[in-house]
Amino acid sequence: MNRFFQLPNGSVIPFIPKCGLASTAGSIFFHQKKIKGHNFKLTRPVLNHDNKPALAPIRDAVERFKSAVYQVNKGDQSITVDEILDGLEAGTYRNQHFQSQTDILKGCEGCESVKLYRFPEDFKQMLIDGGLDQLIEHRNKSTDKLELTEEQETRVRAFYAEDIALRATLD
Amino acid sequence: MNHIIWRTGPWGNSSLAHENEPVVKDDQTDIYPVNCAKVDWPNQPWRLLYNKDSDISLDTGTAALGAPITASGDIYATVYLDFNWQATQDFDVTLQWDITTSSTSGSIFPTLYWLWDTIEGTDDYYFDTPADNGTIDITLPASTYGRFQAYADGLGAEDVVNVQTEASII
Repeated sequence: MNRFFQLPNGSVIPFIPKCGLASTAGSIFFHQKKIKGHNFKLTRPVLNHDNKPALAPIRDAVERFKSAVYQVNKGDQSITVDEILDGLEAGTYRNQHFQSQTDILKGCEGCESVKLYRFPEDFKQMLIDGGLDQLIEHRNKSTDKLELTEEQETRVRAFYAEDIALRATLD
Repeated sequence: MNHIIWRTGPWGNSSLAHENEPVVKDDQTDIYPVNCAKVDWPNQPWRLLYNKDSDISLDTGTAALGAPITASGDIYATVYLDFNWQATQDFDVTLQWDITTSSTSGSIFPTLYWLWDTIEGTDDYYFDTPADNGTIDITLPASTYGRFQAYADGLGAEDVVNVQTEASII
């Protein structure tokens, strides 16, 4: 099951956590406010892409993993990198922030087209191609840079091998 | 410094400031209760318009400050909370959410979004994929007419077949 942002020009953005979701939602809000046709319900990601063209941000898998670890440790939550990796490898830890990008993209099957953009490098262009204004500010950005051990990074690269291969096609 | 502002409502929006309370509470009318900051008017209690939306049901109505609203679904459950306000001073509200499932396996994918804007042109928003439950404090500014909208959404992942999303304004 996947969700999609609906864009003003009739395309959609698949809901990929840690790839600019807050900024995408903000851009849609400001666009609707500008055209004075604001409908808050339209900012809620929907479950169907209705075969529309999809625009998808693809992030370096290791950087995305680091950002996801930061995300799930906000507030009073606490889980270590090793606990997360153990759970992901065993299939016992499920959290949307760690779902692979290639897995999420499978939800775009049936879309008229799927155009991939490097995140964050080409994120602004993706918004423009979706009929939105350029990003005003980056929201929900990680403020603490997590450092992985060599062993942890090796495990991340192995777990997200397909994401890394996909991203390599864009670099 | 305090200001004197003319009261609007009891329901309305930024274009239709003096609407009567509708018989049928439906967000399709695009008018919402107009509150006095976080307190009751002398002749009107503080209220919000809620919309409980899921893959199996849809329901709308009004709720008081602090009243939890719960939507239930098989695949997803969303609670929308909408109100307008007038205030001579900034004030704080708290958005509370709690998303659960009775499924023994699988997980819930929560989304939280709130935004406000005022007739004076100020605005703010917040979008996150938060933990399954929590609270967040929001400061709403002094305004002759402000609009607040929020939703908490729970989507079941994979084999989850039951989702409840509870949300309230405290």
